[in-house]
Amino acid sequence: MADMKVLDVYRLLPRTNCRQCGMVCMAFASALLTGKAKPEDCPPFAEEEKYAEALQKLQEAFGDKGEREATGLSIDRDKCDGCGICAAVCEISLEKSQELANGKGARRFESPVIVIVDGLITIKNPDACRRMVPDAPTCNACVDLCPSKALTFL
Amino acid sequence: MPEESIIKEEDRFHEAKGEPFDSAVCPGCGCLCEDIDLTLENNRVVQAFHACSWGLSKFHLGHRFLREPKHAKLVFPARKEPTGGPLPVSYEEGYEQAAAFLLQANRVVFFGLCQMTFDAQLLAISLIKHFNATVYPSEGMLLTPFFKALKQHPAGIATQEEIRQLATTIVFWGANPLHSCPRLSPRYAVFAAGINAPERHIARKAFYTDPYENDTGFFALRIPITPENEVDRAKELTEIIEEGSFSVPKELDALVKAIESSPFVALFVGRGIAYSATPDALMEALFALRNAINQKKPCVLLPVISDFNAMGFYLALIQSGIDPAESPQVCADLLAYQPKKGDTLICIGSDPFWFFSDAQREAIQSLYIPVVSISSLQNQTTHAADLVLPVALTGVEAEGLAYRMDGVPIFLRQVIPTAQPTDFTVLKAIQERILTEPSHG
Ligand code: SF4
Ligand code: SF4
Ligand code: SF4
Ligand code: SF4
Repeated sequence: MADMKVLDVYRLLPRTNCRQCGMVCMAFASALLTGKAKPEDCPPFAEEEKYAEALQKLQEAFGDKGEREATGLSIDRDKCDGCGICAAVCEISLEKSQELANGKGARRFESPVIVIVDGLITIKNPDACRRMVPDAPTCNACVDLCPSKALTFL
Repeated sequence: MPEESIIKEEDRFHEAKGEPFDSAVCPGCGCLCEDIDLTLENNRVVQAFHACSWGLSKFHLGHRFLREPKHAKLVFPARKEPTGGPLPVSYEEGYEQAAAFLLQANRVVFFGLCQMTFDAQLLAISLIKHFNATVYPSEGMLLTPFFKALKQHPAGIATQEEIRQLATTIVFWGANPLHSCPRLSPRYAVFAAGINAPERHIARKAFYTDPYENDTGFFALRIPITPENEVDRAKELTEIIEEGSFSVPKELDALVKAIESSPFVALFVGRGIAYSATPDALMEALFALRNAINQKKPCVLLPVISDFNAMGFYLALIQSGIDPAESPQVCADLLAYQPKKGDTLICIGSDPFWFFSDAQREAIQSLYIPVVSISSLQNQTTHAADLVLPVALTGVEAEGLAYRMDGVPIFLRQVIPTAQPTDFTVLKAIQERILTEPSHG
């Protein structure tokens, strides 16, 4: 389930936009990724046998793991040494912070996805992460370039 | 599922309440990152933005040293009791004792000196001159060969900012930037955007030398070397650059192509050169390589420095009339130190006991060689020392001038107050006692 983007999640949903969950399927996919919903909150999943496999996949990815950042990023705090390469390679963070683009840490008023706080990667603006935006290009930059292997996608 | 249970609480961003102190300078390494935003509460740093974990430990005065929690701040001056335990003394008593240890010595040996302010370094050098002392700077393994080679091959240096803007081929020779200067590659060398590299790491080619793969391999290609063939590798490369060659060895092919197609090349040389069979010859060969490339396009060679003001110390030596390239007083490898009866060791802002061999440690003990440690944080040397004088941590508890690894002067600010004296104050007090001693007036 590594590297799940909102579209991947969406494809596993019933995609009927029945709104029983209170939203449409795409919004629900996004809610799953941000941890604002759990797979069981989609009633057709529980009711219809044909969705069993998809439900299981989503539960594996978004079940009771308790260690996922809002972007679906799992952070191993013991490995991270706060080098900030992840922030420096995150296109969205660079767009959101002129300082970061200049090789410095973002200012307090800027909202990059990633900031280094107390020597560790911290997700400041999860909603801006490409993985949260439908139809945005696939993005693994932070995970791929972390030299400490401190990051994985769930 | 409630949001709280799915996102680990500690991974979320929470802005701490407190007083902002922005753009502090980190004394964690020779990068001297000047973009550290801190939040203070009751004169403690409660949140730090942008510092890597190494730098963070300084702002937390060693209390939250992630990898080595034992490095906490020293609290009081102490003399070692005959039983071995620390006996608190006053600073006045400490200064007297330090001066006595120095005055009784046949030979004074200084260690460290690379993690203190420039002013304090100048003062320490006046003591080195006074006692005709020997000195093992903590970055001696790198910078003594560097200054020797620089004298043979005079060369200009570029700033980190220029490297970020212009360099598109980056070579880490004997340097693991991730460990010695964690933010060097994201801020300057590899990942930051520059005029010649708007696409950052995608537009740059990075290489590192090592006998084995290491984590630098995440963004750099390895040039395999061994301690025995390293000098030859550098010479071979120089020849290829100077004369061109139809038969470039496979391992050098990508590097040669990158150098040829790059508008600006940066060579970063690190402490790893100490593993070479002949570090001086290797540094010479790397300067020759730098000059060969420089015939065709701009190329700079910079040392990758861990101790925040190592460059300052060498500049202070030169300013004080001691040529680090020539002076026999300035040594490189502390493992070459041979303890002699009558020595007094004075260790400033460094931990030579961590590096000493067992034989050196035993000899220092059995020959009753007094050890004075002037330090902010606890370490093996402060545990072994006969006299420990704690000082304010520069960049956190004290201000002062330091020189970044590229020679750019940067003024470190005081972030929080302390009752402890600075390293300058301590050295001044010791110097006064030495100069007023009748036989040494
Ligand atoms: S309840 Fe399920 S199927 Fe219906 S809209 Fe929500 S996610 Fe889609
Ligand atoms: S997650 Fe990786 S790249 Fe990011 S700061 Fe931590 S160690 Fe560096
Ligand atoms: S996945 Fe991409 S957009 Fe999201 S934080 Fe990582 S680098 Fe940034
Ligand atoms: S790279 Fe060096 S100067 Fe910069 S934050 Fe880390 S330890 Fe401090």
